[in-house]
Amino acid sequence: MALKRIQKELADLSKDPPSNCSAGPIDDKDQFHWQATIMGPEGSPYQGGLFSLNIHFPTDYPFKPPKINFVTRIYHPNINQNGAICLDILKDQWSPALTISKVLLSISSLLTDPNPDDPLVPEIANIYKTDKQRYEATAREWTRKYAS
Amino acid sequence: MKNQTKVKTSKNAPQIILDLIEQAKQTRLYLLKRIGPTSLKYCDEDGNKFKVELSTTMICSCNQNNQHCIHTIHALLKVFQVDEKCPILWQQQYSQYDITNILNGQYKTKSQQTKTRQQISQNNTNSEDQQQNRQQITEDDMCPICQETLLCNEALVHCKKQCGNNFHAKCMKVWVMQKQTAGKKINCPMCRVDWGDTALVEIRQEEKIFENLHKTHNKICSYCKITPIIGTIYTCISCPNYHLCDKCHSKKIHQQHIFMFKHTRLEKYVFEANCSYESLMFIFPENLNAGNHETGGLMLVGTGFQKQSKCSFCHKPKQLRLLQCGHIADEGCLNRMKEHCYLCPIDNQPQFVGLFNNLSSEEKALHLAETKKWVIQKEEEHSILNHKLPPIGKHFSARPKQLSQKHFDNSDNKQIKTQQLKQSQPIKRQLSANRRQLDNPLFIKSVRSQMENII
Repeated sequence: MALKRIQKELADLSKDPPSNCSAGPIDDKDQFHWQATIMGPEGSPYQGGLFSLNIHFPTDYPFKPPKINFVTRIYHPNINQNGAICLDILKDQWSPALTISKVLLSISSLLTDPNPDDPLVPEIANIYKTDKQRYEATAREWTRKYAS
Repeated sequence: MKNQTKVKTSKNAPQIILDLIEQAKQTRLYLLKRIGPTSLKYCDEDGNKFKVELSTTMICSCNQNNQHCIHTIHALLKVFQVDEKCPILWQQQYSQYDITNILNGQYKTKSQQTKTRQQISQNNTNSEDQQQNRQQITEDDMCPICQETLLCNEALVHCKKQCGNNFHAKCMKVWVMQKQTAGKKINCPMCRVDWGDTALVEIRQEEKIFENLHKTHNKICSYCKITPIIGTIYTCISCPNYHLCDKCHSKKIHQQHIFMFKHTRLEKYVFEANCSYESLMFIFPENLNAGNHETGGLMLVGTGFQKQSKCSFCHKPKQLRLLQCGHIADEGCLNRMKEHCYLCPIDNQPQFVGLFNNLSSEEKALHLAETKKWVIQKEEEHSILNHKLPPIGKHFSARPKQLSQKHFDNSDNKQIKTQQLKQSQPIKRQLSANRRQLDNPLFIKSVRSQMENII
């Protein structure tokens, strides 16, 4: 079932690709391992950056969430230096009705609106809360440095 | 008042009609379209379409003899809302008076009208909490979990608590079991509302209901009159509407004809194993119950199929029969198909699955190849016929039009023409002046006096 659904999602992605992200298997032989790219959303300090992510599908997908992490380094209160993402729908709020394209859209909106109340990197969250300009400047610099 | 007395004095309905009424009540038929006030288009659960017409007799495209069938009875009962006991229901022919009365609802009884209204209101209150929020399913709808189409003969469940989205029961079961083993609340994948602890039980119930529904056939056993028939159903391929349940069939009833059977509702009827190929070939298609399309009976193309009343293969409008795949074959082509086990040459669909399945794989391949050759040959013939040059007089006018001449005129020619025109103009003027004089009474008088002088 997992493979069937993954292939179905891949077909849907190529049929109707989302505007600011793309995804697909790295190797045609291993459909459970994908790579995705997200364009830094406009109006955010990540604008102009191109972030790549790794996606690992569990064998019981879609009943278990896919494992997604950033490969490109990013300065964000909910993403740590290993690229792990703190997003509820990738953990306990996962629903089998979610698809990769929906998840990527959620990550994209997380970039625009960080959630400092549930941080993965408390230092960044603190800066985000107290000195937003400094946060934006650093995020912009990291984007320029690592993601472009 | 008249109608009521009619109802009271009516004789009992014949047994056939009573059976049909019972069947019509049990069967789920879909009214696709009301083509006119007396013309209806039906579709049954297996997707076969029928056209029912109320005229001097009840006409249904499922049979040719203009007798009542399940569809005509259903139309009278449910659409025109004729009372069950009203003799109009088993009348063989209808006068214009009868038809207008049926259309005006004269044969409805008052009790029935109030009953239906009550039922409607009851149904509304009952289903409000369960069925009303269920989202309607179309062919394109996907199961949100497996992303496959919902309508694929699987049991379905829906979110009864909030959003009403539909899921495959098997998909939902995995999700619910996983959540349960993790000790978490079972929530709807779409709206996240809590489904409660009884979710798994409900899904299993739904699956069971579906399975049972799958096994039940809304037909009456013609021997023991049991309805609906559960499990295996046997149907006679020669008699219209003759079905047997498993029990009655094992009693060896109605042995003079051959039966086909199926286990679940969505399966196709197949032949019993002891049927010999030769005996089957002898039957088709003349002695086959032509109305029962399910068994492979080929309907005579009649009122319902006027639009394409031509043989799909040789394009002749003769004695046509409708094939299961939707193509139409005439007598000659059907005989030709008989040689090849009734394979449709256009899409290679066997018309009688049982017959085709009895063949060995080599024979199958041979017949497939033969029919293909045949249809190619036919098509070539047809295209040659169509490409004959049309007779000249009909399509091209004998005299070429002036427009086309002008079209080919060169500019030099045009100059010459204008010169000619200029030259001819004074003559024309003279002529018109003469004409004007003719209208003048004084001129006429002078001419007349001149003429008299001459005489």
